[in-house]
Amino acid sequence: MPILETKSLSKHFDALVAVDSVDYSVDSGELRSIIGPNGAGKTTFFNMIAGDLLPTSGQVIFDGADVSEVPAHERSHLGIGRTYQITNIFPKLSVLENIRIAAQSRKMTFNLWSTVPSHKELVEKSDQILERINLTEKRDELAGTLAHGEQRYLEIGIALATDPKLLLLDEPTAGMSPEETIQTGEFIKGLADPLTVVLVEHDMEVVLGISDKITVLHNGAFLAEGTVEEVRANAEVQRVYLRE
Amino acid sequence: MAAGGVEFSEFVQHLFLGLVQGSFWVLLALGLSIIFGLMGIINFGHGAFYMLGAYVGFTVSDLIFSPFLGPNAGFIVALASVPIVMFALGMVFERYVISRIYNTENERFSGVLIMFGMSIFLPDFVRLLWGRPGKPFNIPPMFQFSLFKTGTLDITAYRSFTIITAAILVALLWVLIYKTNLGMMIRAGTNNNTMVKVLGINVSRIWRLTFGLGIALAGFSGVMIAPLFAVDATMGELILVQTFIVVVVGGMGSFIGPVIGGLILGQLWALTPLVGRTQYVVQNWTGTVIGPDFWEKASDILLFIVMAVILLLRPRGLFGQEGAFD
Amino acid sequence: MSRLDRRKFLKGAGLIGGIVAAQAAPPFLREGLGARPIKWGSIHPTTGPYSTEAFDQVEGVKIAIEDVNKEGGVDGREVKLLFRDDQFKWDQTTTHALDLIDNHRIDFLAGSMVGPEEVRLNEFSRKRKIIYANYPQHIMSTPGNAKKMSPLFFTANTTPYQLCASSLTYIAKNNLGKKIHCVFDDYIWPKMFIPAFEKLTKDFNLTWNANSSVSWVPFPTSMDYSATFPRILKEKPDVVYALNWGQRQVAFVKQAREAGLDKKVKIVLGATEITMPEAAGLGSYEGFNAAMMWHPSLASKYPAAKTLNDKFLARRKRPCSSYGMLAHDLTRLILDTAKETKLYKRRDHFKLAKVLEGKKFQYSKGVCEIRPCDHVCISEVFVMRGKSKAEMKDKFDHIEVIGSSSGEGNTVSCEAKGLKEPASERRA
Ligand SMILES: Nc1ncnc2c1ncn2[C@@H]1O[C@H](COP(=O)(O)OP(=O)(O)OP(=O)(O)O)[C@@H](O)[C@H]1O
Ligand SMILES: [Mg+2]
Repeated sequence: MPILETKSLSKHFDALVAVDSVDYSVDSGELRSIIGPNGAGKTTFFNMIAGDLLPTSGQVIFDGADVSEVPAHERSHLGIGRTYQITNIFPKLSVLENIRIAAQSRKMTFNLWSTVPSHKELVEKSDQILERINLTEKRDELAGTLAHGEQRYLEIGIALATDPKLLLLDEPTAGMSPEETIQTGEFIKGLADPLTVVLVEHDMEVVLGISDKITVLHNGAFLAEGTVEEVRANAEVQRVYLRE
Repeated sequence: MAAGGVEFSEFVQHLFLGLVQGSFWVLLALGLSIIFGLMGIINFGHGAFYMLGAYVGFTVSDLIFSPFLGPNAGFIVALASVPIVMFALGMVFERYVISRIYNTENERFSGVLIMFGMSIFLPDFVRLLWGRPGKPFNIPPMFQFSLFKTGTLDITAYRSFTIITAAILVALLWVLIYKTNLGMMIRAGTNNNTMVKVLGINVSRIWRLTFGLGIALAGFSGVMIAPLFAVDATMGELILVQTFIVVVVGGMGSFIGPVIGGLILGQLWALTPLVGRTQYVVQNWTGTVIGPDFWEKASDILLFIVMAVILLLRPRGLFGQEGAFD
Repeated sequence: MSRLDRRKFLKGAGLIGGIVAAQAAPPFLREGLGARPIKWGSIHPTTGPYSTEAFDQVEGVKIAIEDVNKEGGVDGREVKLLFRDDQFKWDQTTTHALDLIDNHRIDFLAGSMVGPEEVRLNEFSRKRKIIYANYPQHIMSTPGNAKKMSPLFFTANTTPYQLCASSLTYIAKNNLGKKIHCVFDDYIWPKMFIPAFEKLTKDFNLTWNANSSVSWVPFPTSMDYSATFPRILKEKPDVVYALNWGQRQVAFVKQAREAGLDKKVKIVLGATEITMPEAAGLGSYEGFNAAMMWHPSLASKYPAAKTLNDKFLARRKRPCSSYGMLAHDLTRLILDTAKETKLYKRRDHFKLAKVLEGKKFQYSKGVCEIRPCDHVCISEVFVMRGKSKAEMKDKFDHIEVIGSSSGEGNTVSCEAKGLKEPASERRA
């Protein structure tokens, strides 16, 4: 059963067609990748799924419900978590607080006036996530002082703390060294199932080993979809993408 | 003991006066800074709410409680209740006025205009409710004594009380901002407001509380300063300008900025007149001696000069974040 | 249903058309025939920091005009008040003055609270040749301004020089001390006291230091006078002479008490007004002396003062300030003189001015006289003392008038100013 579906989803910026009538479907527990050259419309496509942008036409169906017009923060509560192409964290908050504030957003009743270390289960949950993203040692440092790679992990941690069913990662490896990139690939693979993960990447090599299926976007339109081999074999993909 | 013709006791007296003045600036600047940091609204109505606090304090103390509890208790009740009243008022104002501009075009600019409007509306509103002449609000009898007698200007109890109260308040505020859940969310919102929204945190509640908090701080400063200054519908106009100077010098979007900025400027303001009392004779280009009168007057102008220099050399202020105004 | 009569229709249409046209026409045309009322155009800053005082002025003017109308008006014409609020903004003073003079064709121009308003209205008076009833403060009385003063400028205000003279005389006569330390706010009005200081301290053999001040007032300042206190106390003067007004005076008084300054030196305020002790609190002026232009307690001495003050109490629920009294008396003076002489038309204003010059009059205080050479109103100035809390009968009863002085001795003489001929003959 698909957890996410888009039906002829389009986004126009005035005359520019950023996303052109895309039909897309992801099953629960899958790890999927979207690739495409610069300006292909990958981020725009993500923005429409997460609710940061509203589509010009078409539908986004999440968990069986049409969420096309639902604002971003409500989609977050429905279970869509995301990270951004440009790191989006709270640099002036500590690492723990970054995770904590996201975890807190799931809990509607908590005492605003109580101190940060109170609420045991929130602290425990945050610590577990810190463990997963390997930042336990840096828990009390200001997020802004972390290395770039660590900040990207922190951002994933923030997304995880909101208990998503679907996790959208926009170029999580951007700016990482080749070794870090490989590590991150493995890390992301570990996230999938029960979580559903959709990953945007520039580079096909990154997603090669880890994705169940790869989708290629070009000029906002759907170019090809399939396993790594299928996509590689696709003549059109060869023409517009791999030969670049 | 004397240095350059200024006696030590005189120096201490001025230090003391600067600490009092600085404390008020710190409280006001913190309120201004918290609201600006989170909501992006430059609160031009801050002075007006400060003035309103003094009037509410007058009513609570002189009209309601003093007649049967006595002036001391009346004053304490006023000091305790004004921040609560102003906090509630701030939240109601946010709920029914400010919140209407969220997610509209130019929302920050609209916010500035609304608060600027309040700075015009509130003084006349106060004149309408409380009458046109100022209101008497004086130091309660329990504070009418000197802690230290110096021969000239004493270290008086009420001024000392304001310094201590302000220090306690700043400490409490620090705990609130850095140690509580609300504070964490205020810092998060100040830091990365869109992210907070995307996470699905109920920001409207945080904004409302924060606005209430800023207004409560303004109102509290107003009632605490009332026994030392005139309670008048226009009392907020003067101090607002100085508060802006403090915030500009200290830096927007940080906690330490307004605190250090207020204290430094308070001392600068209070110590400048001493220059004129030293034995060193300063002359201007025509050879005229610049006397003590000049330096007494210069202290207020100096605040503007410091602000101008800071804006030229370090536009974000001493402790401000870069791009706070983007 | 009757048929529509063509003639009736035309009449009706004409009437409606006339009304519409009349609404669109300038105000002075709208009145058409019939006895044209005499228009008293008065500009006061009833919005802003001096609104209390400005409202008193307006009330004083209103009472004067109502009384004149009750007594049959001027030359059988009703006097009409056209009041404008300039919001303490000088461009508004100009706009309103222009509108009143050119659009409404007022017969008398009146108003002002502070110097900038006065300067502007004086200029209109000079150029448009219209009598200007100046409420406070007669900046034009300073020697340098004699040439700039409109010959049609009139005031019932006592000048800063007069106020200062009376308080310095009080200090000298009562031996309050020889050494005076001044705390002056640094703007035009306090500066107008300086010539009096320069001359009279010599006459009385007193010493005074130039000026200890908080700041240049147009700048937003902290209003904390305490920073001047250590120096004052170090210099050990006998008298601190403070010259500030409104909330700044209230702040000064509170701070002087808080610091115990009042226990160490004698405090004399250059001038005060009933609103200030009221804002400073019960007994707050105890032991202070100040000069005043007028005080409502003079009602016990002068019947007209009682009538005026009773009206204020009934209408404003508070006693009349000297602002109310000065506005009332001057309005009365000009309208009564106009009534006597029938010289109210604009073209007769110079003749009316001639009559007003040297005219002795009495309303709410002792006999006053407009000195022809510079239109300074030679009148009583009062010295007061602040009552203690126990002495006060109600929340307005802060002040006891303990003396007064009057006569030319309180002013710079015409000779000293180098002015001989009456101002109305001194045409530019
Ligand atoms: N808010 C916007 N307004 C106008 N045009 C936009 C906007 N956002 C994106 N675009 C345009 O839409 C197209 C698709 O952009 P998008 O960011 O989705 O591409 P992308 O595939 O994520 O590219 P990259 O690999 O560089 O991140 C681009 O041409 C871009 O310039
Ligand atoms: Mg992108």
